[in-house]
Amino acid sequence: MSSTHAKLDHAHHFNSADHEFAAGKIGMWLFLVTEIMLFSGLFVGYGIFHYIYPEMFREAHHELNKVLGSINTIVLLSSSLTMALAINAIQRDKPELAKKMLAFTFLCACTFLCIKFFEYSHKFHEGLLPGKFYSNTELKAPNAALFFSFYFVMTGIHGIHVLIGMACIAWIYIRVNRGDFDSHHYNAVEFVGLYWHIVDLVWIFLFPLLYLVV
Amino acid sequence: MSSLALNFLPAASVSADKFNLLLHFLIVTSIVSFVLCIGAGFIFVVKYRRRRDNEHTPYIPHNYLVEFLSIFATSVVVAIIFLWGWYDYSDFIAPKLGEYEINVIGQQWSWTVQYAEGKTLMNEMYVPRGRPVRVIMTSKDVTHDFFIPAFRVKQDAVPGQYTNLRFTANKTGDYDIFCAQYCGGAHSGMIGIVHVVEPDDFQKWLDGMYRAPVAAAGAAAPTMTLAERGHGLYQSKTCVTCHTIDGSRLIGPTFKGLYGSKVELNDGQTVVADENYLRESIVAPMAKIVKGYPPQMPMFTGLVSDEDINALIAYIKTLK
Amino acid sequence: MSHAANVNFYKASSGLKNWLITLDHKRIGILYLYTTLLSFVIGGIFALLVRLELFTPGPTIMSQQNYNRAFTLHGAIMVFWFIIPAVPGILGNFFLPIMIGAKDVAFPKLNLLSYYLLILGMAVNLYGLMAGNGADTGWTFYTPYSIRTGANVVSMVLGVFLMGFSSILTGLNFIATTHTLRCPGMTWFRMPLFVWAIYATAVLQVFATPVIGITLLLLAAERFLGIGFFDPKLGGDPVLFQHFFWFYSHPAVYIMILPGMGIISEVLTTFSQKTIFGYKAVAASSLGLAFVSFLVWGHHMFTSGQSLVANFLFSLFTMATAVPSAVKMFNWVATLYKGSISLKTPMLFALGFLFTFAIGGLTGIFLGALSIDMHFQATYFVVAHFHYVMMGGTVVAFFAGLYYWFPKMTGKMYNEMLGRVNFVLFFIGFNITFMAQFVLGVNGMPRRYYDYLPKYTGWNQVSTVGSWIIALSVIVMLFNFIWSALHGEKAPMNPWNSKGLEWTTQSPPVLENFEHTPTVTAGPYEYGTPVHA
Repeated sequence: MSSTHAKLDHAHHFNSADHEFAAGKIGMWLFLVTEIMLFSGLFVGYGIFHYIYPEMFREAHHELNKVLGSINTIVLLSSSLTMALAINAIQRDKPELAKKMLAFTFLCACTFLCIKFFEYSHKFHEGLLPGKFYSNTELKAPNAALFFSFYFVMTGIHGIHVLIGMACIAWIYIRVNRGDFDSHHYNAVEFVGLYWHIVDLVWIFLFPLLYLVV
Repeated sequence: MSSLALNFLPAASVSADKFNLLLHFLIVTSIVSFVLCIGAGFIFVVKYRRRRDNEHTPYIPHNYLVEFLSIFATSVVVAIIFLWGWYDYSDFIAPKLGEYEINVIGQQWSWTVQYAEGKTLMNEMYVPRGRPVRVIMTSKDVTHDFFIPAFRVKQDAVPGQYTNLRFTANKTGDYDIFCAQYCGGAHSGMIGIVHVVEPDDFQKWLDGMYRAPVAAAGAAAPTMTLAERGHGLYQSKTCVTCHTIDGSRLIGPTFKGLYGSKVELNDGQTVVADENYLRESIVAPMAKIVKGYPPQMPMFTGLVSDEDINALIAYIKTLK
Repeated sequence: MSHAANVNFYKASSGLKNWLITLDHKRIGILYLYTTLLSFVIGGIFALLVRLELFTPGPTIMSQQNYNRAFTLHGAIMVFWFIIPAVPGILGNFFLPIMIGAKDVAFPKLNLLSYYLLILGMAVNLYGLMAGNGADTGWTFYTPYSIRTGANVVSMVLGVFLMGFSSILTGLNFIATTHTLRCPGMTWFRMPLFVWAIYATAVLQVFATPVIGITLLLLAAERFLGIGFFDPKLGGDPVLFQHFFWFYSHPAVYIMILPGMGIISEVLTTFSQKTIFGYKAVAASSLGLAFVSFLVWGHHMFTSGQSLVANFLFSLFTMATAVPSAVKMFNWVATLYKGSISLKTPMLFALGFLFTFAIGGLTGIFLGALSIDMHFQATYFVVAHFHYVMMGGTVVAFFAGLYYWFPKMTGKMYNEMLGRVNFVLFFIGFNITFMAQFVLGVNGMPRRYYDYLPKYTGWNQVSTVGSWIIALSVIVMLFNFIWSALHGEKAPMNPWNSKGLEWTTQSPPVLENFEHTPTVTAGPYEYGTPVHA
């Protein structure tokens, strides 16, 4: 979005770097709004089907592994903390600390996806697949396939967001390493941070909705 | 008959009469407000057209009285229309005393009409004049919409659930049924007829004793040959929706030259289209699917009599 | 300040490559111009084919299947390729920054990305049309038909998803631009109404489009994985798709019409040399419409079996939209009062807009009344109504805007005579085509019918003949634009004697829009002399 070359302080159509930063921030927040609207569609769909089939949702959700889900929640929350610390470090002109924090965030994201991978393969094994591929015979509630459709679609789209987040974090890491940022120029770090917080926030909703159904 | 009349749709139900009253109110209100607004604009354009360059114009940024009055007047009018529409609508859909219930199932691309007394019709419906009717609908495949323009009512038929359509017909006669929710393929062929008859005649019809005043298509008029009767059935039993008689392709294979021909099936076999094949294809269409065509045809078991099948086969034989 | 400050943006650099990777909002606007006009012609050809097929009952020129594909393509192309990107993409891109005194949009690279996402979306659609066997679902993709049909729905859906992303990024860019790049003195209430309209549109693009995005992804997943959300066989609810679809697609109607309304405010004030009547009311009604548009989606589903309460509320809110729309109409007409009215082509189109949009709006009230909708829903009355709004509204306003800003965009004057011929043909053809469809709808002819009962033949033929007149008028327009761009008279800086900021720079504008950043000291429509000083 915004490029901070050494020779050019800010893009030609802005008055100053602060001006450009302010515009970028508006843009980023609007983008986050679209992300929330995107997931809202899924949440509304979930709400409707939970209302229609409360028994089925209750029975089906026991198939999810609450321990792994909880670990993943903690992992993502810690990654949000380190992301915030990374921004803080850049603001205080401490690129080395920022790099450590970014690396830790990246590792957390990897851990999250690894755990997700194990959860998924377990579900595949049990035949707990979405929609027409569903082949489990143990669950008694009718239409249990719907729950797993929600599970895979919601965590799948979230997982794609985690992947994109990891790519962004890696890109930021490289740029910090290159010395692109200092306490006056850190737009990109801040924006990736905002994005990463939204990815976490979505998980904070997904976890109770899918793992802790009442 | 084609015409350029503005209104050539009969009104044959209680709701149609109410509909027409509100429609006329709307048309008059709209024309009045259109003429007031656009007419004023037209007068301004004529009166204040530019006569020379650099004319002075007054600076009128707003006029709160005019703005308030226009907003107020608009709100009042649309509030009246909203309440009127709601009032009529809640009456259209409200359960009535002594409703006669009819079941309708939509499927690509025909309507099956079932009566509690045991009759089953296709794309055809008999209703008694003057008695409230409740049509209970669902669909076998995709969403359809049961629409009777002369009654001014319609309702979607949604797979997996029941929906209701209510009306009280008040004029005898035959009226169109359309499908008004796009359902693919032969959507525009998913049409039928509703016969509004006197209550006595309706009872007779239920008992199998009714003869329509004008011979319905396919009914056995003594002068008709078997093939002529088959032609009537070809239309009234909706074969026409999917099968042509001129060799062109619709949803199903054409009837032209069908009898006696060799038919290739989707499992690779070839059969000769003789009487037994034609009969089976009518009563159990899924048994043999012609190669390159979808397994789409509804089962006509119970919807056509043996006499009807004979007539249809006789008709197909004439299509060389 | 750039060294090329006083060279116009066409001459600032040359070569195809400089056009294709340009970051200049004006050039991107021109790219959108070519793309969306081409889309309009393609969508129009499908419309003509559909009308020709309906010239007689039964088969006329094509098979049933091809007819179903033709109207699907007409709808999808006109909506997603043309009408949503056209006005924001061309006129919004070109003029929004100039009208607020900015040098560019806030995020030029993102702007170029939006354009290429649109192209990519079109390419995915086209791939589906060529490689698969087209789509036959109608542009609304209703389930469960769209799940069951053998046609190529996925390419249609993914293409639209990409175009939706393009629309979101455009909206986001315009909001950020409007918030941060207004020149000194350009307060919110000194912004031209076109900017307000584009701003309101952008809000809708950002808030509503993600919902269609997720809906279409779910539909694609439904076809790939059979997830069952919309499939009754797996416990899903097909009507839920309609709710999701219209939650976007109703606001999308305002994404389509609001920019057009903005154009009308500009053209009417300029050609009557008079300040707009009720500036704040017109600006507020844009935002009001944008807001209410989120609450009325269910009026597309009055006969779907949704609950009584839902029908009551959706009908009520639908009626409420009549008020801000009427406010705009009244204020536009009042603006003409005691003006100095010049009937140049843009003004003819703007006045034509008042005429056709009034009909579109009034017939919308018919459809909002529940008992009336029981009959009109899904008939040609609906088809006629939304063409009066979309074509009689947006497209007419779009033509008005193209003629109005043609001198600024190209530096040449269009041919006035051809422009007027264009208008007269269009106006006559349009009203014949769609008035006839109102009559068909009143008499109960359902939409999307390949075949119809013989009694409907007469009005169908009238409508088809009307469509030929429209086609002729569009040919005249395209000829006028191409010929004038090449051979037209050189345009002065301000041919219409307008007070708008965009007319204070060269025609065509310089690379950074103004030689010196302007300072604004008054509102956008300061025509005339105060009555009470």
